[in-house]
Amino acid sequence: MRKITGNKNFGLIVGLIVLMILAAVITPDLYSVGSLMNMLRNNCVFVFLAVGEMIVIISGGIDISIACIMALSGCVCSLLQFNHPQVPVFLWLIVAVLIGMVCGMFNGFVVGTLKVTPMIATLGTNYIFRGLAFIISSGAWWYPHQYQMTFQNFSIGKTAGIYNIIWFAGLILILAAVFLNYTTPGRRIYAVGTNKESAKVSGIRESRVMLMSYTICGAICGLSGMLYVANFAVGNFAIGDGFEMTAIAICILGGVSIIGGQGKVGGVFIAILMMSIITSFISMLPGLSVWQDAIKGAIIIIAVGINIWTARSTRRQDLKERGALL
Amino acid sequence: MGDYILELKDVVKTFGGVQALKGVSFQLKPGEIHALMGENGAGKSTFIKVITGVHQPDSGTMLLEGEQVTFRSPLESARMGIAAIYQHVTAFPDLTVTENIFMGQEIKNKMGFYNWKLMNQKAKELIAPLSPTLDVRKPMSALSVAEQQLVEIAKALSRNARIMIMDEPTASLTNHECEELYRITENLRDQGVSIIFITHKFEDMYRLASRVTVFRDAEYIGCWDVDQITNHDLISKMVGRELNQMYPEKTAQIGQVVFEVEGISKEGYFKDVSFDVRQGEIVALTGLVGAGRTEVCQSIFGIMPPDTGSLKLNGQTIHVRSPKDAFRFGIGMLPEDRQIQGLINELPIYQNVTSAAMDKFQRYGIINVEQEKEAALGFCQKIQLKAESIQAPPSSLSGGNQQKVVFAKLLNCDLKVLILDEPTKGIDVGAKSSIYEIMNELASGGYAIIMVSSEMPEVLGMADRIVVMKAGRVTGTFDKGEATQEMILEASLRQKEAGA
Repeated sequence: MRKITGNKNFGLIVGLIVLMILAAVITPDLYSVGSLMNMLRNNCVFVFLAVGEMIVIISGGIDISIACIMALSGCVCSLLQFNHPQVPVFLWLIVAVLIGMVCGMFNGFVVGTLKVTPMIATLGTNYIFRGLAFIISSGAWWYPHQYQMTFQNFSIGKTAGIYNIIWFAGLILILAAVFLNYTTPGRRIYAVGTNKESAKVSGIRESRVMLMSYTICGAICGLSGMLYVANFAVGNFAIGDGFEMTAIAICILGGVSIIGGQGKVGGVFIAILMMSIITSFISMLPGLSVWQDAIKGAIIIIAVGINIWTARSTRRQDLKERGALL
Repeated sequence: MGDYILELKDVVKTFGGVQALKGVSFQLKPGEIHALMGENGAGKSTFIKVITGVHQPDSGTMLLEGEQVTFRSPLESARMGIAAIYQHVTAFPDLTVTENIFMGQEIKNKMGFYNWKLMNQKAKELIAPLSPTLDVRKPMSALSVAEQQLVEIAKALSRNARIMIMDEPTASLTNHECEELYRITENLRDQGVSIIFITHKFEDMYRLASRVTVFRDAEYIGCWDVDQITNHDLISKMVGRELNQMYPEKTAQIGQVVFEVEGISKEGYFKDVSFDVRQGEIVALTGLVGAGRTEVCQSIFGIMPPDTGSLKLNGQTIHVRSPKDAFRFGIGMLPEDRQIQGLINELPIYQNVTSAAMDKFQRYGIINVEQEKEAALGFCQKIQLKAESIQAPPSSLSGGNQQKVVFAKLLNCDLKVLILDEPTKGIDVGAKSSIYEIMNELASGGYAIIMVSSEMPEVLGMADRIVVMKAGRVTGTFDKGEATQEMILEASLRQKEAGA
């Protein structure tokens, strides 16, 4: 039993199940295959943003420019696919990832090499990227008829009956989990995040790890920008405004330690599901939809509070059992 | 090849303007346990970091098996078979035991991915002779300090270390754990590992080492065979000065008992601690690091109230549940780390002085700044603060003068009992004696003073009574006249009494 309740995601899973049951009783419509698929499709963007953000937070940083990277890549892709319909759309996918990588590398350089506090560095680049998006788009909007169908299909096309954007999100989750758990660079991210000094005496270069984690985060966010505009077939410089906060909230809810060093893809995945269900569930309840943000906020604080409390008591009990206390 | 496996000659290392090592030398024989001793700040930790390549020396040579070597990073020294177990265990707290052991030499499969299964199994094999029951999949943060050290040793073994450096490994271990560590260390020596064992404890040195090197004030003092040097000689080599010049003549009249601590306990920190302090008296709480002295003070001051036992002020039982309560009863504390807990560098000196008791200067919620400055100036003069202006920030002052500002802050609070936690920590010798003057004057002014100190000369020079703690318990109380360095040391190393 200890083994089950001791699992960091235990509280989260229980919360998710309770929510799903509540939703099933009160708003059974939510579980029709169609609306379930739509819910997942429309929340997929948070998979990308949260996974990217998670990698940066584990390394001991934070990135509040992710939504702006998404907007920049979204605008560039919208513009290119409209102006150059003859070029194979597959190319725009690569362009989106490259734009994100460059933005992320810049963040990583400012944080890792120039040693600017992550919050301040990415607050600055947040405006730079959004500003670039505005310049490139000239403030214009792209509407559904301006998107090629092949371009839109990257997100809303179906493979084996499931939207492509969901496949992309699943792929990113799996890649992130393998990267963080089974590769040396991935594990270095945890090492730097948990103790910079130890990393130094172990010969790990912090600046490089920061550069890497921001670059990966940027690449994923760049990809999300293109998939986002393809999904909704609407694009402008202001897309994703405030999404960075949702992504950070998902990370925290999913058990990623805000001071770095801790966090699992599984936890973040469950947190994304939870957030999606809350959003859809509450918006289907008449009168409650205005409470959506307030309820989300309360859930974050309660969940993290429970986490801190259980971590403290299990550690105490653990030490007691082994007689490490007097 | 010479007689030594590792030899350092005239190593100099400077940080900014401070000389951390002023040309030290050191020789390690193959297969010996060599103790390195010296006071805090003698340069031992810097010395290790030079050996392992964390710091690069400004000048001097290092010979490994007779060959000159330079290490630009800890990775290079590790590759040559040198492993260090640092004082503040440098593990990765959120990573598992396995991963800590294999950091930098992870086992991977053909695809380049971590082979967790094999790594866990190997880690278990490595750790089993040291601690058979330890679960290698636990995060380091879930382990006790002793267990964390074992993991560090296992890590060094996994790298086939030939030279192992242990920086005060016994500092925070219990007696039983120390015995375990001695056994393991001796086993390592018997397997041919050469060991540098840094310690403050004579117990460790006598038990393990065959030779001892002493550093003082960043200089090399000498190297002796352990059986050819007396305890007393070794201490005077380490301290390097006679005790009587530094400390002022005691002027205070000792009066009635002001403050009594009766049998206070705090689970996991200390047990059944009792002592009292009289008016004008300085009582020193001493013992080794980790003996629970600071924790006792924090309990008295309300930072972590005791589970059981009571405090009495002038014969009345008082309940101190928070530092605010403590101040109300007239108990003040000078924290160990003045930079973090004592001073606010963004505020001018006078505001730092008045910050703990500002009510005095306000009327209808508005602070009378002129009155505030005047009062602050008075206190600063009283303690002979050397500052250009009380408008300047404390960061513009030297360490000793910063500490004086904290004293002035306490003076402003109308206190009866002062708790001084390591009042001269990080202060140079000259400034120390002026701090002692202030303490002496405060005692004369009728304050009852509790001083926590690890520095033996300071304890003997300043205290009227000395309370020695070991592993959370009081193991001895001495009056000024009767106490000697040996008696205090003996009490601070004393085994727990049977049945206690």
